[in-house]
Amino acid sequence: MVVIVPLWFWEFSSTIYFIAMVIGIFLSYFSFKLYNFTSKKQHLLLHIAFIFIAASFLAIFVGNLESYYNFQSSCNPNCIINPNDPTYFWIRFGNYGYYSTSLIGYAFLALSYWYSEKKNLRFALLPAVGAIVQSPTIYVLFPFVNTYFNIFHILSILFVSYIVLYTLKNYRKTKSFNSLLVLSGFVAIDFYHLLMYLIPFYAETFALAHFALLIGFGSLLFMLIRVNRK
Amino acid sequence: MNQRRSKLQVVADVLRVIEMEQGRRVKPTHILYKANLSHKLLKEHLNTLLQKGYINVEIEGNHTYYKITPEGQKFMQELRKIEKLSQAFGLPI
Repeated sequence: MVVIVPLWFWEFSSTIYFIAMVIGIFLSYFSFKLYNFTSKKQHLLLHIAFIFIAASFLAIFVGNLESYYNFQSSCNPNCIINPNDPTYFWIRFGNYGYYSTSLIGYAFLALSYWYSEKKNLRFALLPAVGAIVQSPTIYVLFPFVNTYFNIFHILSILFVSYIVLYTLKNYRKTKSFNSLLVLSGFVAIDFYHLLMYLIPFYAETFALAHFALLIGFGSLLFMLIRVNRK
Repeated sequence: MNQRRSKLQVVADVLRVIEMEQGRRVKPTHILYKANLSHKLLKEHLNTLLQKGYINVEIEGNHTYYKITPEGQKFMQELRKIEKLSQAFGLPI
């Protein structure tokens, strides 16, 4: 498995991972404040989710730095990074650390929404059933599910789509700009995973995916700024 | 159908009613009516708020009045932010 990065985008992804990590830390801090006020389990789950998400971006940031240092010579015309190369510990640590912590984070996030809707089990279970039903479709449409990289992005798409459904329901209910920012944030993160999945077809999607990630976390940061201004 | 308010939401509603009077004293019956609470529950919540120092009580003859303290105002400022955050995520307080 190799990850192909367009030359003009070299090193930008590390910066974006770092920004996502910092915003993840902010989100975990403010969700902890929320939990401190309410002592509700769903807010604790939200806090834990963002800790894992921030940790996942720290892992990929560290891994990416080493890959840029070691694989720069392979940039012609695209940069080809092999996360499975046994020579480089930090690359493997970064990638697999990112895959595992990120999935745990998304799972906690989905759980926090599921927990908040536990009185309405039908609604809580519908997206889960939908996610399971649609997964074979993804396997049929994209027959490249042969690595951790692809499996990770497919699972992430399923988890984040599940979260998007809840945030969409919330936006329809509240019609507030802050809830729209949260919805657009998660939609953009969903697009990030989808575009990352499509890298084997077109290298430029690596850059597009990272812009989507930046928009996603930027949207969540903008929501935090709006919430905390006087 | 409306969901039951959480304890924090009730406390917030009580403080909001007192805060709306902008420094003026408020009678418990006014809070009772505006915050939509039973007498027993109101008494419980007012005692909690008094213990935390978020409100002051003044007694004049047979009448009792409540007033928000600077700590109470600070708490309400933080609470408003928390409410906005929980509303943005769709995870109610």
